[in-house]
Amino acid sequence: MSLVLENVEKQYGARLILRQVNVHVRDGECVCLIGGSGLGKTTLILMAAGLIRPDRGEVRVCGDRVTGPRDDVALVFQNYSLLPWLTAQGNVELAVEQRFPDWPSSRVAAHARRYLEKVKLAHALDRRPPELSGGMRQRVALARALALEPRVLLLDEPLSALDALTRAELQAELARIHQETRCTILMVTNDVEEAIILADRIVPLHPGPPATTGPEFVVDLPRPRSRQRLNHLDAYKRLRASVTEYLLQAARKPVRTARPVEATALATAQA
Amino acid sequence: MKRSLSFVPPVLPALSELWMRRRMGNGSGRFLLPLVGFGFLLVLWQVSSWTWAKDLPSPAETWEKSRIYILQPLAKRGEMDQGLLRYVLNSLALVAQGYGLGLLAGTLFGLLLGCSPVFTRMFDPVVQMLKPISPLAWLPLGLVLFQNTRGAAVFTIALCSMWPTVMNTALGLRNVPQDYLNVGRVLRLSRLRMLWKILLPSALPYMFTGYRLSLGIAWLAIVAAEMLTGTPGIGGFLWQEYNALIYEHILVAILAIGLVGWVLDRCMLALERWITTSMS
Repeated sequence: MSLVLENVEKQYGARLILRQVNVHVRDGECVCLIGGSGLGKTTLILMAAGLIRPDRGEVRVCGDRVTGPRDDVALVFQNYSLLPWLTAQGNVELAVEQRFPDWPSSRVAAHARRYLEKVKLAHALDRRPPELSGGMRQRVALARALALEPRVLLLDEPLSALDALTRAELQAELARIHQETRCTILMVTNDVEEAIILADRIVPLHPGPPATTGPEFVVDLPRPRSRQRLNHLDAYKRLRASVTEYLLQAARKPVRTARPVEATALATAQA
Repeated sequence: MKRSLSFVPPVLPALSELWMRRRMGNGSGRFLLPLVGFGFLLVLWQVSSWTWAKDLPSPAETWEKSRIYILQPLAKRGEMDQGLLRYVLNSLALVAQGYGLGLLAGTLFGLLLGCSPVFTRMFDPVVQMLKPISPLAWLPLGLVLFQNTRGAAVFTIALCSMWPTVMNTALGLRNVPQDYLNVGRVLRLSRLRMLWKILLPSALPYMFTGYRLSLGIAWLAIVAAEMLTGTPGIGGFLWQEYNALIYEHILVAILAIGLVGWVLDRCMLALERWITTSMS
């Protein structure tokens, strides 16, 4: 297991917002955590990144208990969080310098450039974030995270601020990068289609308060999953319908129902 | 009622057009309107010297009596008889020393205030108390401490001008967006790198606003310092001419002080804008 959140609980003041959260992500797997806004999804991912300590339970990366930010875990923030006074290249270089302090600057620059090329920003290396579109900024943020060559990549609703077209484009990009690098991904999202396109498994967050993880859905659809192809698959439609229905039902009945969802039954996909 | 309403509209478009032309900067308004302002000042001056202020020299008399200082700006006929520009440069040299010291001390002090809540609790009341003290009050203390006028002047300028820098540097550091701090934490930057790579660049626009305000105060303080110490600068000249009862020279010195202060502020403003736009 690359990343484990085990019985994680978090409260702000007297208010318990996350209870009994359990997420297991295997090596090279992509798991999407899905749920509506305000449930504590960001809190959850910040705990996985070691920026927030859980009140109970524990977070483990490759078997070690997480007590703070780690070199082998990278996080992409929801709002990009690029430093506006640095160029795209500079933003990535800052991370690379920090991760590989022994490297000479030429190697740092080449490494940063390689990852910016990987996210198709070779033409915008010298531009600063204010001169980049939202999609391009998120690509820089992604390059910065990937350049750290992390074992685990955490994504906090990375595409939620983008328009639909850019969003679809970046989803395909993320899927490709995941296939290429095979790094372990935990991604938080509120978009069912996005989750299905990217994830091996989908873990719904059952609204509370306190919110908690619900029974998972296995996404056993062929890759690469382009939207055009998925739209013709019955298995895709059924999966989308049942995830959506689960989330809608959960939103109506905040108290947890232990009703198991036949997720694996949906896994009979035909190309 | 109806008549007055129908009369009003043509006035507004005319005014707004003038305003627009001024804003766009391609019309005569850009230069014309400020000239009207200066013209008003000149008229007020002239009328005053005719009517209620009999001792006030008129603009023409002022020009006549003091043009040697303006037309030979770099002349040096004696220690306390120099060209206007030469006086100004003397003053600027003194300001540069005091202001430089004030910037250094103010920036460091502001950094400490901005980074440490404990330090803020401890020293904020002290700052608030020292801030409103006038240069005229500091100068005698400076004379006592340094036993010479130059040291006293530098001391006074530094002490008076540092506060905007202190306050703005601290403010800039407190206002660093949480997102940037999170980036630093995720990358596990050391405290020093955090300061250098994230806190300072983020606070820089605030700091430059502080530097500009500080320069304004430094220029205010120099005149007071020179008047009290008789240093050969623009303020010393002003005070000397007051004692010599040459009022024309006082007026010229006042105008020169204002003009130089204005130019200094414009320069700093340009620098501040450049920093702000290149930082965000």
